[in-house]
Amino acid sequence: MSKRRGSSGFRRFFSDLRRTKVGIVGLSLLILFLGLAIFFPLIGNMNDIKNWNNLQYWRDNPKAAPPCWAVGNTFKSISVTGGEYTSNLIERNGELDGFKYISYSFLYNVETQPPIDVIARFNISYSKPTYVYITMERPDGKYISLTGNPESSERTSVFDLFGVDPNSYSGDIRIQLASYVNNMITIRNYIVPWLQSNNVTLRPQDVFRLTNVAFSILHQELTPNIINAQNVTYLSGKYNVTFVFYSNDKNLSVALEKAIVLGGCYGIVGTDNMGRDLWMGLMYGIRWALIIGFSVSIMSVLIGGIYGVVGGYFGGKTDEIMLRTAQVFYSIPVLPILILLAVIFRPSIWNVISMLIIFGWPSTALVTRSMALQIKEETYVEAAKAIGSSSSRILFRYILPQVFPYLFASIALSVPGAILTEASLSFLGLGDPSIVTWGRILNEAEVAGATINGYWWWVLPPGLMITIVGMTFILIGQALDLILNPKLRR
Amino acid sequence: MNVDKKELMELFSNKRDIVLMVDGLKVWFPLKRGLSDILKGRPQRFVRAVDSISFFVREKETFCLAGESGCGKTTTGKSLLRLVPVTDGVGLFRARKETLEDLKKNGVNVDGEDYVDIFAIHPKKMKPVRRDIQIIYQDPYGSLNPRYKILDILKEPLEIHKFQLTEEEKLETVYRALETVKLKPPEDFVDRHPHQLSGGQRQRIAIAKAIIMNPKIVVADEPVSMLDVSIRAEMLELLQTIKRERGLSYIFITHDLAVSRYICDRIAIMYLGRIVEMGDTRRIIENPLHPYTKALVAAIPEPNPSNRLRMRDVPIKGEIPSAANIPPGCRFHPRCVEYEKNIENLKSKCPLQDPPYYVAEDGRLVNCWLFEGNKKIEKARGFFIM
Repeated sequence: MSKRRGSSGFRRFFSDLRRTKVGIVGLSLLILFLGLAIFFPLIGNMNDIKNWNNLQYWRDNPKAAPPCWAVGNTFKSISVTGGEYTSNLIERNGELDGFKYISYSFLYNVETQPPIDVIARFNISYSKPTYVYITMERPDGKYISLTGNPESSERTSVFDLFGVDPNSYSGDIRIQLASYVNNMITIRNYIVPWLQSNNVTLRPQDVFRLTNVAFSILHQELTPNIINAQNVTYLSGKYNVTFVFYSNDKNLSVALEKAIVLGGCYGIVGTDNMGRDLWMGLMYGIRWALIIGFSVSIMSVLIGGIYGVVGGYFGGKTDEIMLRTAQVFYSIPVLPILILLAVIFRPSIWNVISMLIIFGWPSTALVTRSMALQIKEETYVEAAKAIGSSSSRILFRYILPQVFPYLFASIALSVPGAILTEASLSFLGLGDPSIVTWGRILNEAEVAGATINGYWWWVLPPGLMITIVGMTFILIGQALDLILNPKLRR
Repeated sequence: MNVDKKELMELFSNKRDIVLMVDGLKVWFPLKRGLSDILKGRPQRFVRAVDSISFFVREKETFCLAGESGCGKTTTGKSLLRLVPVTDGVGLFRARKETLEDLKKNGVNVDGEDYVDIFAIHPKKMKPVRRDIQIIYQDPYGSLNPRYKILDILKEPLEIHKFQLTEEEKLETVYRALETVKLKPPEDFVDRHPHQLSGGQRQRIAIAKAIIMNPKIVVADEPVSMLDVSIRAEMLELLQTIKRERGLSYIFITHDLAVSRYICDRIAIMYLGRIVEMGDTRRIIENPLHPYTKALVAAIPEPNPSNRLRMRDVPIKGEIPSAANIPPGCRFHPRCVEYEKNIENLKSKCPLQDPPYYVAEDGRLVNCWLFEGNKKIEKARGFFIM
């Protein structure tokens, strides 16, 4: 019987909620967020989240790259090892002058902007000295050797590039071409001579400035004033970067595992300075925000609600003691206490949630206490005593049902507070380091100086997400307020 | 157990027709003392809502408590159900056998063989007695749980008291109770919420709730005063019918002497927590003796239309004083017209001494010095000679 009453109450409650405009907006946002949180594994990549703290996992992504929709003319990353660009990979092997060679060429098209890097990972195995030769062919037909050119008997050992044993090795090697090119040694040995051979002579002080721009100069039209030009013009057309491995070892094997030509933009909301996909962090953050918001608000409102009703109903000394205890908790400022506790204890998210509950219930308790004080004076409560109802019956059948609508509204209204407090803690670096929350993303942005460097895509979206989720619950709370306080209806 | 109570119990054992006998009932609410009151050693003050009253109720009788608001009539009624803390008093109640057995099971000391002192039971152990004494409230809009359906409201007493009824029997009992209060057909009402009913229908539900456990006494706290004038008579008729059919007694609380003339067998007029006049209703209303009763009777609205615009003189002055600050001597004397008239004769009595009860010619009790010549009643049992 009571169950049926409860369900019809719920149905009426939701149909009421749907009647107000703010209610519709709030409810649909809530359903959207719930969907995103529940179906994250379908939308996002759980591996990204599992490896959030594993920086190795993210090394092939551009660092601090803005979202692609925000920057118009930028090179869009292509991966030649998978997807639609596999035709951009040319693999050759053969023998020449007693050497076995295996070469991989990556082709990419530059329209207005060059890539920021070429990253390649190979699985290599050899037992005799092995050498590597990297060249780049530009649309204007010019070749540049980025290592010693075997044709002129300059051999660059794999050790020089990858730091692995040059005589015998079996395993992964990885190269980030831009950082190799921008290295002073590479510049002196290969870039400057190449520029000179193309009639570009740099002053000594300009040579040092190449460490920032050498890789992008490889994509520029060659003019004498190349380093100081105001308007950089990139050479558009097809580029070809070739990696050649050669060795006396007939058993040399080189397998390409991954090759990416990196652009300056990434995904929907870009990356942070570790190359992490912020979109995944944002989407996954919904889960934690909802978990924190709901668990804190439901628990603290229920505990506070029952506590207040019990105190108010029994009155006298019980009430006095309960009220004073609640007031003590109420008067303690939460954030400083939480900061202190986070410093002392390991800042696990469950610790934070329990602390928020422990300091969150008194505000509800104070209100429900006064409601109970009022309701217990109603005639029908006295009538219930007159027929012999026990105190618990009166509490749970008479008083709590009257308080429930208020509890619903305050659950909705206290969710944003919980989310904000957790975000503040994480922002201060006192959050749980093992989970991905918006506060933590903001904290890392702060540490990396995102605001100073203009990495807006790193700062704004998490802030906006907190705001929108907060707004969702405020809207629902307001709609509930309109339903529960008919006086506010216009 | 003091001598008075023993005497009272003896008397009660012999008067088989009396179902409830209350003696010396006091309900004093302590006023909150401030820190300065405690420091200055001021004595604890009380709101003396009910200040030593005695009465009895016969079987199948309607006993009325009448008086203006604040005189303690409702508090008296509620104290019988121990809904207010009782300061002092003896209340011997002839309960049902099962009730007494349940009380004994709960460890209550039952003095008499078929009765119990309801004021000696701890309020938490009163539960069995609540089957036998029930209450109907004045406000039908406030006395029913708005969240319950009528069926749940009426079933609740049966569930609380575990009458060992099956679900069907409970339903049957509820339907019968609804039929008793003339809510027919009952199926139309059980699924409704109180707010879907009119005031009169709600009061019928309240009556059904009160009688569903077959009580011996029903305290009816102004049950018709919140109702439409058009249905009052009907409701009073219903109460009378139920009384006849079920053989119960009413303690009928009212401020309306016109209603009390219609329904009451005996009446007690209360003023500031004290019964000032008690006896046969018709005689008291037709020939009031106590100055306060005279004033009350004079205030009954004039039924004759030709007289309705005539200014009437109500023989009373001033306002009712606070129950926290009861005047010394006779508590009515500051408002008493008779006292003013005979101030020379009465100034040594009224302002100084609380009057005792005197027995008037027709056997009624009057609490006034004007009747000093009559037979005086000293002890409580004197109340019960009538």
